[in-house]
Amino acid sequence: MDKERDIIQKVLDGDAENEEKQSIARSVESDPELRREFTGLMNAVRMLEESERQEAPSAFTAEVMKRLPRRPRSALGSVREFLFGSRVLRWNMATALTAAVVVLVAAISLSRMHREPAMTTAPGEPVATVRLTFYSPQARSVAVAGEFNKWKTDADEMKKTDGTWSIDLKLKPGVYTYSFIVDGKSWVPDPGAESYEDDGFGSRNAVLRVMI
Amino acid sequence: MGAAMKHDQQPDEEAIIHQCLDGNADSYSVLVERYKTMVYNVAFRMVGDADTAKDIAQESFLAAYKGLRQFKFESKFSSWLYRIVLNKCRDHLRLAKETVTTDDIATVRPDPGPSPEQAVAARQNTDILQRALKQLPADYREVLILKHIEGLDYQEIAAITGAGIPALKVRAHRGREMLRKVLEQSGVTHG
Repeated sequence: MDKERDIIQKVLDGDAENEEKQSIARSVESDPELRREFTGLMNAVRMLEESERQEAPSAFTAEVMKRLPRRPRSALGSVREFLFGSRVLRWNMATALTAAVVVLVAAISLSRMHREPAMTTAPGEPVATVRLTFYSPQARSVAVAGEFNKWKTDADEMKKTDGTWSIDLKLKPGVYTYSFIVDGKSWVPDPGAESYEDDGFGSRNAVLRVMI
Repeated sequence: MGAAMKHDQQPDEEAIIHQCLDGNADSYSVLVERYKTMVYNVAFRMVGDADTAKDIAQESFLAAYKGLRQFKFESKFSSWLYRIVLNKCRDHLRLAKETVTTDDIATVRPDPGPSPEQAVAARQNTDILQRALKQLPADYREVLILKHIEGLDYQEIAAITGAGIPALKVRAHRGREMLRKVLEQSGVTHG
């Protein structure tokens, strides 16, 4: 009887061999007491497995985030944030006017210069279509920035399908470093990249080799 | 581009954790969003009370954040979170003395429970399973939760709890047996 109860537990653990399953089926069939126990155990396990998943209360994440202690930024992290982080600037009319003049002059100057597009592909030049993918069901937006688009964070937005973000890029043969930008602020190197390079700010960029 | 990560991390988790360590606390919200249901559920099933479960789950995320430097990517991040929330639950149960110990198995009796009218309503609307689980020793309860509610295998449960697989199987065996008896005594034999 104890041996049979052990086999029942193996069945419930998913460890039983076919022979053991057949043997216990016969025993349960012929022994009402064992059948009652077996049914009760199966019922208990079924209740566990089918129990409803409770949703975390609303604002759960916001409450946790509010309580997080703020870590001092590392020196390299601060440099990176300074260069790539988003920020709010406060203006008064004097600084706004000065900035407007500077922007206007710069725009006129630039428009007179020959400016190379982000990626040149002369007619007939071979290009490869490369698909980048990134799994992040929680992200609200993902873009890719890299050498191929002069590290523009809004040039190549990725599209989400079933939690996976993807984009097709047409690239000339070569080696490019790049990174994903999650929700417009977090720089995440492609977890599936073949290799990585230090970005000079204490983090890494993914490396993409395009060959035809 | 789709290659498997070491230790089965979600693809972006290593980078997110490094960003948090780098001072970018906002990145942590991705991990909280991803695992809040898992952590809250384990806490709820362990302590049986929504408010306490919420407190424990939030404390668990805070503890994980404060201890991120101790996370060495030697296990899944989710396993590490399971370990933290279970420790918090054990602490809570120990302080509240709400649970029986493994030594008390022979004396476990079904919770007298609510009045017959309340029992009908409870059966219809609330979780009978929760009341039954509450009568199990905490170490049995946690194995049943991880194995049969969270669907983890014994290897992962061993990594989370620090117990050996044979010991875990014994706990599961005894826990299921106790649960069966408690459910039968509650009149829920055949679901």
